Amino acid sequence: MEKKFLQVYLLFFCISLSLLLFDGFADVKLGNKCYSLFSADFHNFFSKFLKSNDLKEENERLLEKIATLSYEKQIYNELKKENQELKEIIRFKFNYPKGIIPAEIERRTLEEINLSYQIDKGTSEGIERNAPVIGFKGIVGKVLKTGNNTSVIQTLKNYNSAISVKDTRSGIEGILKWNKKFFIEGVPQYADLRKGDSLLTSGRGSVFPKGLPVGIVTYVNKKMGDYLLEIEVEPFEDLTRIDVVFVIEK
Amino acid sequence: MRIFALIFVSLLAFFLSLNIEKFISIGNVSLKPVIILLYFTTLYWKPMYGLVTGFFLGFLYEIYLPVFTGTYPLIFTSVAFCLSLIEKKIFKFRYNSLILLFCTVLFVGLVQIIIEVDKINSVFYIIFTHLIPEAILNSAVGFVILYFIKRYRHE
Repeated sequence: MEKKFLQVYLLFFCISLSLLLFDGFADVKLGNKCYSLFSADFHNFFSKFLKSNDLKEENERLLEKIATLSYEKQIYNELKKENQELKEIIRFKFNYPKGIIPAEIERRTLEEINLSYQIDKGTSEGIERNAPVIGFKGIVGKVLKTGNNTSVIQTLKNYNSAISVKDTRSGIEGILKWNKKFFIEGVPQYADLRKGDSLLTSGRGSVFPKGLPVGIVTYVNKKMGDYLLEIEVEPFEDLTRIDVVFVIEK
Repeated sequence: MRIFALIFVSLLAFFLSLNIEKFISIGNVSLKPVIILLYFTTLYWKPMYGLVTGFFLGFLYEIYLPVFTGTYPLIFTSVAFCLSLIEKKIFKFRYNSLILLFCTVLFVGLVQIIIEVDKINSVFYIIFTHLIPEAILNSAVGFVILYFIKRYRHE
Protein backbone atom coordinates (compact mmCIF):
# COMPACT_ATOMS: atom_id res chain seq x y z
CA MET A 1 0.00 0.00 0.00
CA GLU A 2 1.16 3.46 -0.78
CA LYS A 3 2.39 5.41 2.18
CA LYS A 4 0.67 8.55 0.92
CA PHE A 5 -2.64 6.77 0.74
CA LEU A 6 -2.35 5.58 4.30
CA GLN A 7 -1.39 9.06 5.47
CA VAL A 8 -4.40 10.61 3.75
CA TYR A 9 -6.67 7.98 5.23
CA LEU A 10 -5.30 8.58 8.72
CA LEU A 11 -5.72 12.32 8.26
CA PHE A 12 -9.34 11.95 7.21
CA PHE A 13 -9.93 9.42 9.96
CA CYS A 14 -8.51 11.75 12.60
CA ILE A 15 -10.48 14.74 11.31
CA SER A 16 -13.72 12.75 11.27
CA LEU A 17 -13.12 11.24 14.66
CA SER A 18 -12.21 14.55 16.27
CA LEU A 19 -15.30 16.17 14.76
CA LEU A 20 -17.39 13.30 16.00
CA LEU A 21 -15.98 13.57 19.52
CA PHE A 22 -16.23 17.35 19.55
CA ASP A 23 -19.83 17.20 18.33
CA GLY A 24 -20.70 14.54 20.90
CA PHE A 25 -19.56 16.71 23.81
CA ALA A 26 -20.58 20.13 22.46
CA ASP A 27 -23.79 21.77 23.65
CA VAL A 28 -24.68 22.94 20.18
CA LYS A 29 -24.17 20.24 17.63
CA LEU A 30 -21.69 21.11 14.94
CA GLY A 31 -23.93 19.32 12.45
CA ASN A 32 -26.78 21.61 13.39
CA LYS A 33 -24.56 24.66 12.96
CA CYS A 34 -23.44 23.45 9.54
CA TYR A 35 -26.98 22.61 8.69
CA SER A 36 -28.19 26.09 9.61
CA LEU A 37 -25.32 27.62 7.63
CA PHE A 38 -26.06 25.55 4.58
CA SER A 39 -29.78 25.39 4.95
CA ALA A 40 -30.30 29.14 4.59
CA ASP A 41 -29.38 29.20 0.91
CA PHE A 42 -28.32 25.81 -0.25
CA HIS A 43 -31.16 23.80 1.16
CA ASN A 44 -33.82 26.38 0.35
CA PHE A 45 -32.63 26.53 -3.21
CA PHE A 46 -32.84 22.80 -3.71
CA SER A 47 -35.82 22.18 -1.46
CA LYS A 48 -38.11 22.95 -4.36
CA PHE A 49 -36.78 19.90 -6.13
CA LEU A 50 -36.21 17.76 -3.10
CA LYS A 51 -39.53 18.40 -1.42
CA SER A 52 -41.84 18.08 -4.37
CA ASN A 53 -43.57 15.22 -2.57
CA ASP A 54 -44.22 17.46 0.41
CA LEU A 55 -45.57 20.12 -1.91
CA LYS A 56 -47.86 17.56 -3.47
CA GLU A 57 -49.18 16.62 -0.04
CA GLU A 58 -49.57 20.28 0.88
CA ASN A 59 -51.41 20.88 -2.36
CA GLU A 60 -53.81 18.03 -1.59
CA ARG A 61 -54.33 19.38 1.92
CA LEU A 62 -55.05 22.85 0.56
CA LEU A 63 -57.46 21.45 -2.03
CA GLU A 64 -59.28 19.67 0.77
CA LYS A 65 -59.40 22.94 2.70
CA ILE A 66 -60.78 24.76 -0.34
CA ALA A 67 -63.47 22.12 -0.71
CA THR A 68 -64.42 22.49 2.97
CA LEU A 69 -64.46 26.27 2.73
CA SER A 70 -66.51 26.16 -0.45
CA TYR A 71 -69.01 23.87 1.31
CA GLU A 72 -69.13 26.23 4.28
CA LYS A 73 -69.65 29.15 1.93
CA GLN A 74 -72.59 27.37 0.36
CA ILE A 75 -74.11 26.84 3.81
CA TYR A 76 -73.45 30.48 4.64
CA ASN A 77 -75.18 31.62 1.43
CA GLU A 78 -78.11 29.37 2.22
CA LEU A 79 -78.37 30.84 5.72
CA LYS A 80 -78.07 34.35 4.30
CA LYS A 81 -80.92 33.61 1.89
CA GLU A 82 -83.03 32.17 4.70
CA ASN A 83 -82.30 35.21 6.86
CA GLN A 84 -83.38 37.50 4.06
CA GLU A 85 -86.58 35.51 3.59
CA LEU A 86 -87.37 35.72 7.29
CA LYS A 87 -86.77 39.47 7.24
CA GLU A 88 -89.13 39.76 4.28
CA ILE A 89 -91.74 37.71 6.15
CA ILE A 90 -91.57 40.09 9.09
CA ARG A 91 -91.78 43.14 6.79
CA PHE A 92 -94.61 41.56 4.81
CA LYS A 93 -96.55 40.78 7.97
CA PHE A 94 -96.32 44.38 9.17
CA ASN A 95 -97.25 45.86 5.81
CA TYR A 96 -100.24 43.68 5.10
CA PRO A 97 -103.49 45.15 6.49
CA LYS A 98 -105.31 41.92 7.20
CA GLY A 99 -104.14 39.22 9.55
CA ILE A 100 -101.84 36.77 7.81
CA ILE A 101 -100.31 33.51 8.95
CA PRO A 102 -96.86 32.70 7.56
CA ALA A 103 -96.33 29.01 6.89
CA GLU A 104 -93.52 26.88 5.57
CA ILE A 105 -94.07 24.37 2.79
CA GLU A 106 -93.33 20.92 4.14
CA ARG A 107 -94.13 18.86 1.11
CA ARG A 108 -95.24 19.39 -2.45
CA THR A 109 -96.60 17.10 -5.11
CA LEU A 110 -94.00 16.11 -7.63
CA GLU A 111 -96.15 16.34 -10.71
CA GLU A 112 -96.88 19.67 -12.29
CA ILE A 113 -100.53 18.77 -12.85
CA ASN A 114 -102.65 19.77 -9.89
CA LEU A 115 -99.70 21.08 -7.92
CA SER A 116 -100.43 21.24 -4.21
CA TYR A 117 -98.45 21.94 -1.05
CA GLN A 118 -98.60 20.75 2.49
CA ILE A 119 -97.86 23.51 4.98
CA ASP A 120 -96.86 23.34 8.64
CA LYS A 121 -99.86 25.27 10.00
CA GLY A 122 -103.37 24.06 10.64
CA THR A 123 -106.58 24.91 12.43
CA SER A 124 -104.72 25.31 15.73
CA GLU A 125 -103.04 28.39 14.22
CA GLY A 126 -106.35 29.72 12.89
CA ILE A 127 -106.22 28.46 9.31
CA GLU A 128 -109.60 27.83 7.76
CA ARG A 129 -110.71 25.98 4.68
CA ASN A 130 -110.80 28.07 1.45
CA ALA A 131 -108.59 30.78 2.96
CA PRO A 132 -106.56 32.54 0.24
CA VAL A 133 -102.84 31.85 0.15
CA ILE A 134 -100.28 34.28 -1.20
CA GLY A 135 -96.51 34.43 -1.63
CA PHE A 136 -94.11 37.40 -1.56
CA LYS A 137 -95.00 38.43 -5.11
CA GLY A 138 -98.54 37.32 -5.66
CA ILE A 139 -101.33 34.84 -5.25
CA VAL A 140 -100.49 31.16 -4.77
CA GLY A 141 -103.82 29.39 -4.24
CA LYS A 142 -106.26 28.53 -1.48
CA VAL A 143 -106.48 26.18 1.48
CA LEU A 144 -108.06 22.93 0.37
CA LYS A 145 -107.96 20.82 3.51
CA THR A 146 -107.12 21.63 7.08
CA GLY A 147 -105.72 19.46 9.80
CA ASN A 148 -104.85 20.33 13.34
CA ASN A 149 -101.24 21.21 12.57
CA THR A 150 -101.01 20.92 8.80
CA SER A 151 -103.02 22.06 5.80
CA VAL A 152 -103.11 21.31 2.11
CA ILE A 153 -103.01 24.15 -0.37
CA GLN A 154 -104.46 23.93 -3.82
CA THR A 155 -102.23 26.08 -6.03
CA LEU A 156 -103.19 27.96 -9.17
CA LYS A 157 -101.74 25.11 -11.17
CA ASN A 158 -104.86 23.06 -10.85
CA TYR A 159 -107.58 22.12 -13.34
CA ASN A 160 -110.20 23.07 -10.76
CA SER A 161 -108.73 26.45 -9.99
CA ALA A 162 -110.70 29.49 -11.25
CA ILE A 163 -110.01 33.01 -10.06
CA SER A 164 -111.75 36.15 -11.08
CA VAL A 165 -109.11 38.66 -12.20
CA LYS A 166 -109.10 42.27 -13.32
CA ASP A 167 -106.76 44.18 -15.64
CA THR A 168 -105.21 47.07 -13.71
CA ARG A 169 -104.97 49.28 -16.83
CA SER A 170 -108.38 48.80 -18.52
CA GLY A 171 -110.44 47.23 -15.74
CA ILE A 172 -111.46 44.29 -17.95
CA GLU A 173 -112.39 41.23 -15.95
CA GLY A 174 -112.00 37.55 -16.72
CA ILE A 175 -111.52 34.10 -15.17
CA LEU A 176 -107.99 32.84 -14.70
CA LYS A 177 -107.69 29.09 -15.24
CA TRP A 178 -104.95 26.56 -15.78
CA ASN A 179 -104.66 23.82 -18.35
CA LYS A 180 -100.93 23.14 -18.71
CA LYS A 181 -100.60 26.93 -19.00
CA PHE A 182 -102.40 29.89 -17.45
CA PHE A 183 -105.07 31.54 -19.53
CA ILE A 184 -107.98 33.94 -19.10
CA GLU A 185 -111.40 32.89 -20.12
CA GLY A 186 -114.40 35.03 -20.92
CA VAL A 187 -112.80 38.16 -22.36
CA PRO A 188 -114.48 39.30 -25.60
CA GLN A 189 -112.40 40.19 -28.68
CA TYR A 190 -113.30 43.87 -28.52
CA ALA A 191 -111.90 44.19 -24.97
CA ASP A 192 -108.83 46.36 -24.48
CA LEU A 193 -106.34 43.85 -23.08
CA ARG A 194 -102.68 44.02 -24.05
CA LYS A 195 -99.53 42.07 -23.55
CA GLY A 196 -97.73 43.27 -20.41
CA ASP A 197 -100.87 44.24 -18.50
CA SER A 198 -100.89 43.41 -14.80
CA LEU A 199 -103.71 41.44 -13.29
CA LEU A 200 -105.19 41.60 -9.78
CA THR A 201 -107.95 39.65 -8.11
CA SER A 202 -111.29 41.32 -8.74
CA GLY A 203 -112.91 40.34 -5.45
CA ARG A 204 -115.81 38.55 -7.07
CA GLY A 205 -116.41 35.14 -5.59
CA SER A 206 -116.16 34.12 -1.99
CA VAL A 207 -112.50 33.08 -1.74
CA PHE A 208 -110.07 35.81 -2.81
CA PRO A 209 -110.30 39.40 -1.60
CA LYS A 210 -109.98 42.27 -4.02
CA GLY A 211 -106.57 43.58 -5.13
CA LEU A 212 -104.23 40.63 -4.68
CA PRO A 213 -101.53 40.58 -7.40
CA VAL A 214 -101.94 37.65 -9.76
CA GLY A 215 -99.71 37.91 -12.82
CA ILE A 216 -98.91 39.54 -16.11
CA VAL A 217 -100.41 39.07 -19.58
CA THR A 218 -97.85 37.44 -21.85
CA TYR A 219 -99.85 36.61 -24.98
CA VAL A 220 -103.00 38.04 -26.59
CA ASN A 221 -104.47 36.61 -29.80
CA LYS A 222 -107.60 37.44 -31.72
CA LYS A 223 -108.69 34.23 -33.42
CA MET A 224 -110.72 34.55 -36.62
CA GLY A 225 -114.29 33.40 -36.15
CA ASP A 226 -113.98 33.23 -32.38
CA TYR A 227 -115.86 35.54 -30.07
CA LEU A 228 -113.36 35.43 -27.22
CA LEU A 229 -109.73 36.52 -26.95
CA GLU A 230 -106.96 33.97 -26.46
CA ILE A 231 -104.95 35.28 -23.48
CA GLU A 232 -102.01 33.70 -21.73
CA VAL A 233 -100.76 34.77 -18.31
CA GLU A 234 -97.57 34.34 -16.33
CA PRO A 235 -98.18 34.45 -12.55
CA PHE A 236 -96.00 36.76 -10.44
CA GLU A 237 -95.18 33.95 -8.05
CA ASP A 238 -92.96 31.11 -9.19
CA LEU A 239 -94.98 28.22 -7.82
CA THR A 240 -92.23 25.62 -8.22
CA ARG A 241 -89.62 27.47 -6.19
CA ILE A 242 -91.61 28.98 -3.36
CA ASP A 243 -90.75 27.89 0.20
CA VAL A 244 -92.84 30.19 2.39
CA VAL A 245 -96.49 31.16 1.91
CA PHE A 246 -98.93 33.38 3.77
CA VAL A 247 -102.45 32.35 4.59
CA ILE A 248 -104.84 35.27 4.82
CA GLU A 249 -107.24 35.06 7.72
CA LYS A 250 -110.81 35.15 6.59
CA MET B 1 -10.19 16.81 -16.15
CA ARG B 2 -10.69 13.59 -14.21
CA ILE B 3 -11.01 15.54 -10.99
CA PHE B 4 -13.83 17.65 -12.46
CA ALA B 5 -15.56 14.52 -13.71
CA LEU B 6 -15.25 13.02 -10.23
CA ILE B 7 -16.68 16.15 -8.60
CA PHE B 8 -19.55 16.19 -11.07
CA VAL B 9 -20.32 12.49 -10.62
CA SER B 10 -20.06 12.83 -6.84
CA LEU B 11 -22.52 15.70 -6.74
CA LEU B 12 -24.82 13.83 -9.10
CA ALA B 13 -24.69 10.77 -6.87
CA PHE B 14 -25.37 12.94 -3.85
CA PHE B 15 -28.45 14.57 -5.34
CA LEU B 16 -29.66 11.24 -6.69
CA SER B 17 -29.32 9.70 -3.26
CA LEU B 18 -31.46 12.47 -1.82
CA ASN B 19 -34.10 12.14 -4.51
CA ILE B 20 -34.07 8.48 -5.35
CA GLU B 21 -35.02 7.44 -1.85
CA LYS B 22 -38.33 9.17 -2.39
CA PHE B 23 -39.04 8.56 -6.04
CA ILE B 24 -37.36 5.39 -7.29
CA SER B 25 -37.58 3.33 -4.14
CA ILE B 26 -39.37 -0.01 -4.29
CA GLY B 27 -41.32 -0.09 -1.08
CA ASN B 28 -38.70 0.81 1.51
CA VAL B 29 -35.83 -0.50 -0.60
CA SER B 30 -33.85 2.21 -2.31
CA LEU B 31 -30.70 2.70 -4.36
CA LYS B 32 -27.54 3.99 -2.71
CA PRO B 33 -25.75 5.93 -5.49
CA VAL B 34 -23.15 7.29 -3.07
CA ILE B 35 -22.03 3.82 -1.99
CA ILE B 36 -22.04 2.56 -5.58
CA LEU B 37 -19.89 5.53 -6.59
CA LEU B 38 -17.56 4.96 -3.66
CA TYR B 39 -17.23 1.28 -4.52
CA PHE B 40 -16.48 1.76 -8.21
CA THR B 41 -14.20 4.79 -7.70
CA THR B 42 -12.09 2.95 -5.13
CA LEU B 43 -11.88 -0.37 -6.91
CA TYR B 44 -11.94 0.53 -10.58
CA TRP B 45 -10.54 4.06 -10.72
CA LYS B 46 -8.13 5.13 -7.98
CA PRO B 47 -8.30 4.29 -4.26
CA MET B 48 -7.20 7.83 -3.39
CA TYR B 49 -10.17 9.27 -5.30
CA GLY B 50 -12.44 6.93 -3.39
CA LEU B 51 -11.01 8.15 -0.12
CA VAL B 52 -11.42 11.84 -0.98
CA THR B 53 -14.90 11.29 -2.46
CA GLY B 54 -15.98 9.36 0.62
CA PHE B 55 -14.71 12.06 2.96
CA PHE B 56 -16.41 15.00 1.24
CA LEU B 57 -19.59 13.18 0.29
CA GLY B 58 -19.84 12.04 3.89
CA PHE B 59 -19.95 15.68 5.00
CA LEU B 60 -22.56 16.57 2.42
CA TYR B 61 -24.57 13.47 3.21
CA GLU B 62 -24.90 14.15 6.92
CA ILE B 63 -26.12 17.71 6.43
CA TYR B 64 -29.51 16.15 5.77
CA LEU B 65 -29.32 13.51 8.47
CA PRO B 66 -29.65 13.94 12.23
CA VAL B 67 -26.29 12.43 13.19
CA PHE B 68 -23.14 13.71 14.83
CA THR B 69 -20.77 15.54 12.50
CA GLY B 70 -18.03 13.27 11.24
CA THR B 71 -20.03 10.05 11.33
CA TYR B 72 -20.45 9.59 7.61
CA PRO B 73 -16.95 10.83 6.61
CA LEU B 74 -15.62 8.27 9.05
CA ILE B 75 -17.79 5.47 7.64
CA PHE B 76 -17.20 6.31 3.99
CA THR B 77 -13.42 6.81 4.27
CA SER B 78 -13.15 3.58 6.25
CA VAL B 79 -15.18 1.76 3.59
CA ALA B 80 -12.92 3.19 0.89
CA PHE B 81 -9.85 2.19 2.88
CA CYS B 82 -11.10 -1.37 3.44
CA LEU B 83 -12.01 -1.71 -0.24
CA SER B 84 -8.54 -0.55 -1.26
CA LEU B 85 -7.04 -3.19 1.07
CA ILE B 86 -9.10 -5.93 -0.56
CA GLU B 87 -8.61 -4.61 -4.12
CA LYS B 88 -5.41 -6.57 -4.80
CA LYS B 89 -6.78 -9.80 -3.35
CA ILE B 90 -9.84 -10.19 -5.57
CA PHE B 91 -10.53 -10.59 -9.26
CA LYS B 92 -12.40 -7.35 -9.50
CA PHE B 93 -13.45 -7.74 -13.14
CA ARG B 94 -15.36 -10.92 -12.40
CA TYR B 95 -19.02 -10.61 -11.70
CA ASN B 96 -18.77 -12.59 -8.48
CA SER B 97 -16.66 -9.75 -7.08
CA LEU B 98 -19.95 -7.91 -6.71
CA ILE B 99 -20.44 -9.82 -3.49
CA LEU B 100 -18.13 -7.16 -2.11
CA LEU B 101 -20.61 -4.45 -3.15
CA PHE B 102 -23.35 -6.50 -1.52
CA CYS B 103 -21.33 -6.64 1.70
CA THR B 104 -20.47 -2.92 1.52
CA VAL B 105 -24.11 -1.87 1.19
CA LEU B 106 -25.04 -4.27 3.96
CA PHE B 107 -22.28 -2.95 6.21
CA VAL B 108 -23.13 0.73 5.66
CA GLY B 109 -26.84 -0.01 6.14
CA LEU B 110 -26.08 -1.86 9.35
CA VAL B 111 -24.00 1.03 10.69
CA GLN B 112 -26.80 3.43 9.74
CA ILE B 113 -29.28 1.29 11.67
CA ILE B 114 -27.02 1.16 14.71
CA ILE B 115 -26.76 4.95 14.61
CA GLU B 116 -30.40 5.71 13.92
CA VAL B 117 -32.47 2.89 15.43
CA ASP B 118 -32.92 2.80 19.18
CA LYS B 119 -34.65 -0.53 19.66
CA ILE B 120 -32.20 -3.33 19.08
CA ASN B 121 -34.95 -5.98 18.73
CA SER B 122 -36.18 -4.41 15.51
CA VAL B 123 -32.70 -4.56 13.90
CA PHE B 124 -33.07 -8.17 12.72
CA TYR B 125 -36.43 -7.41 11.21
CA ILE B 126 -34.93 -4.43 9.33
CA ILE B 127 -31.97 -6.53 8.13
CA PHE B 128 -34.22 -9.07 6.44
CA THR B 129 -36.93 -6.77 5.15
CA HIS B 130 -34.84 -3.76 4.24
CA LEU B 131 -31.06 -4.25 4.19
CA ILE B 132 -30.70 -7.51 2.29
CA PRO B 133 -33.17 -6.52 -0.48
CA GLU B 134 -31.40 -3.16 -0.68
CA ALA B 135 -28.00 -4.84 -1.01
CA ILE B 136 -29.40 -7.09 -3.77
CA LEU B 137 -30.84 -4.11 -5.65
CA ASN B 138 -27.58 -2.16 -5.43
CA SER B 139 -25.62 -5.24 -6.52
CA ALA B 140 -27.90 -5.56 -9.54
CA VAL B 141 -27.15 -1.95 -10.49
CA GLY B 142 -23.47 -2.66 -9.85
CA PHE B 143 -23.74 -5.61 -12.23
CA VAL B 144 -24.91 -3.31 -15.02
CA ILE B 145 -22.12 -0.80 -14.31
CA LEU B 146 -19.52 -3.58 -14.23
CA TYR B 147 -20.81 -4.88 -17.56
CA PHE B 148 -20.16 -1.47 -19.15
CA ILE B 149 -16.76 -1.17 -17.44
CA LYS B 150 -15.75 -4.56 -18.84
CA ARG B 151 -16.95 -3.66 -22.29
CA TYR B 152 -15.11 -0.34 -22.22
CA ARG B 153 -11.96 -2.12 -20.98
CA HIS B 154 -12.04 -4.61 -23.88
CA GLU B 155 -12.46 -1.87 -26.41
